[in-house]
Amino acid sequence: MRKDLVFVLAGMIPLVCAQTLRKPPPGEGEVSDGLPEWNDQELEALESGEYIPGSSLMGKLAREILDSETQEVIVLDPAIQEIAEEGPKSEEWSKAIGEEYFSAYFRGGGNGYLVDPQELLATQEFRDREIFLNRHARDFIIDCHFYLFDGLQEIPEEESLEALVESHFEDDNPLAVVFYFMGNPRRSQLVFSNRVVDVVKLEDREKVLRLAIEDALEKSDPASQLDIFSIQLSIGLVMLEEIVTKEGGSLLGGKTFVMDEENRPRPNQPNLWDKLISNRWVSNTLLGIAILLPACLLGFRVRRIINKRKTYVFPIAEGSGLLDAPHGAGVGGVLSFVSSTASPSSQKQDVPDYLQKI
Amino acid sequence: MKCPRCVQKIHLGASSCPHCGFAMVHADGVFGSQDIKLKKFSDVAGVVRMKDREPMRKVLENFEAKFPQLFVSVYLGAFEDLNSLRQYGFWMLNRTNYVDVDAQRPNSTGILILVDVNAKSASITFGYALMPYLDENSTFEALSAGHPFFLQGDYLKALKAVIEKLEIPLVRGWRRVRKNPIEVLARGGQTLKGYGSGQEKTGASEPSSGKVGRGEG
Repeated sequence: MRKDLVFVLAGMIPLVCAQTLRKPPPGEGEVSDGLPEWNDQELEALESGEYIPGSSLMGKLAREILDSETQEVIVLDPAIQEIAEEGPKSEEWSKAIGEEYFSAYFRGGGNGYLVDPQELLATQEFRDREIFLNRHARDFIIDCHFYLFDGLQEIPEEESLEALVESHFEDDNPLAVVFYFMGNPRRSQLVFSNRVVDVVKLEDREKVLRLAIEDALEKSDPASQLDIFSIQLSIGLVMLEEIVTKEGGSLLGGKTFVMDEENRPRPNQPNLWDKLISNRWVSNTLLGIAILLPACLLGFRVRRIINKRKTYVFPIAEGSGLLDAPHGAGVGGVLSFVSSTASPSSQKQDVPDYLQKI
Repeated sequence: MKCPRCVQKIHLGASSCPHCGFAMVHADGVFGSQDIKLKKFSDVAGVVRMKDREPMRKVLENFEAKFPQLFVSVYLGAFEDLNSLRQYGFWMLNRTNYVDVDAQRPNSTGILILVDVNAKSASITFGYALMPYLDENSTFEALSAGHPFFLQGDYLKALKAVIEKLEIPLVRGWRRVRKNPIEVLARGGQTLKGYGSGQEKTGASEPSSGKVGRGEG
């Protein structure tokens, strides 16, 4: 503020000085104030209408217009007007998807949750969206896959989002796949895997897409539209998860899907044990085990008792003496139990006794 | 087999150790040449409590019931200056007359567990009849089974563990000798009695005559 004030004051100083210098001294007549002055000849021509101010700048055209009685509005040359802006040369060119992208779009060649082989998003925008979708997939049950197309591009007739989901995504996984058209969110398509379709009503699914489109349309920038669309879609998917959970269903495995009253699990529904028992093969196996196990245990017990009472009689043998000993010279192991910390094997005495004394 | 004095391997049938010249006569020279009389369970050191003595005898009887030709004797001594536990065990097995062992079980079918409670060491010596089935490793493993109880001074449990562990190689040897008696017996320097005269007897149920080994065969 102080700097501005100084600047203004500094600018005023030369003006004040100039005014002071131009003031005629007392007693002198009026003098020129520095502005151009008409000479008499030009002034007369002006007053007579012969001279038109600005005619030297506007040239002949201005002269003619001013001289003409009816002044026409200047319009742009039609030739110039017809020059088209740079852009698609034809409607077909802008609608077609390059065949080189088919693999990424429709053959499962695209990786991750965001597929943009045409690089419609800038690198940073792509990265931001990808991070967002990865986080969504990490935190929530229903994963969300985005395929990005240009606003006017048409999906080839032989391809469709439904076919893509059926062929390249597992039905058992709860997921949503979106064909999103940049700058044209109204054209967005959304398809859920059968896991979701089985447990979520159609109106709820449609509501998710409708809300996402409505929110996206509040933005004008295509990238911002995609941001809002994806965020709103993520919120919608979480709401679907909550709805399913409230109704007692599950999006994770199992077959306890709940869509309506018919599929709602009944309190007296047979549990896993009842199902196993009802299975004939399983029940027979269990019965067999129940009989065989005690029998085996009993058998082991009996065998143990028999072995305990069993006597072991060796064949009669004879042999020559050893060390002239009358009965035996079978020198076995010698164990020391001096140390309670050392292992028995380390306390084996296998050296002659006279060496131990040394 | 190993020499009780120099602990070197000796050939089965050697009348004296080829390394140190040890023979029975040397043991007699150290410990005496007269036979001694002992019970199969002798607690000379007095370390087994009175209430444990009867269970101890029961353990020995159970072993005899399981192996009708064999017996186990236990000697717990507190030696002042015993030079060699191996030599003493060797001498004792050959010079002891066990008063409570029936005549059908000569010393050649016996297993002597000798414990020196002063030096805190234990050894096993066995007769000729057991040489095909027992060796230094199997007997040491049996002693190792009783090691924790020896350390605690619980000799009943220790000896019980040792004897139970000794039964394993005996049963295993019994199975082997049923299948191939000549080869198994040969490993212990034994031959099947009457094998040379054509009277081969391989039956495991063949009762022992009690005359197994040199001097009683």
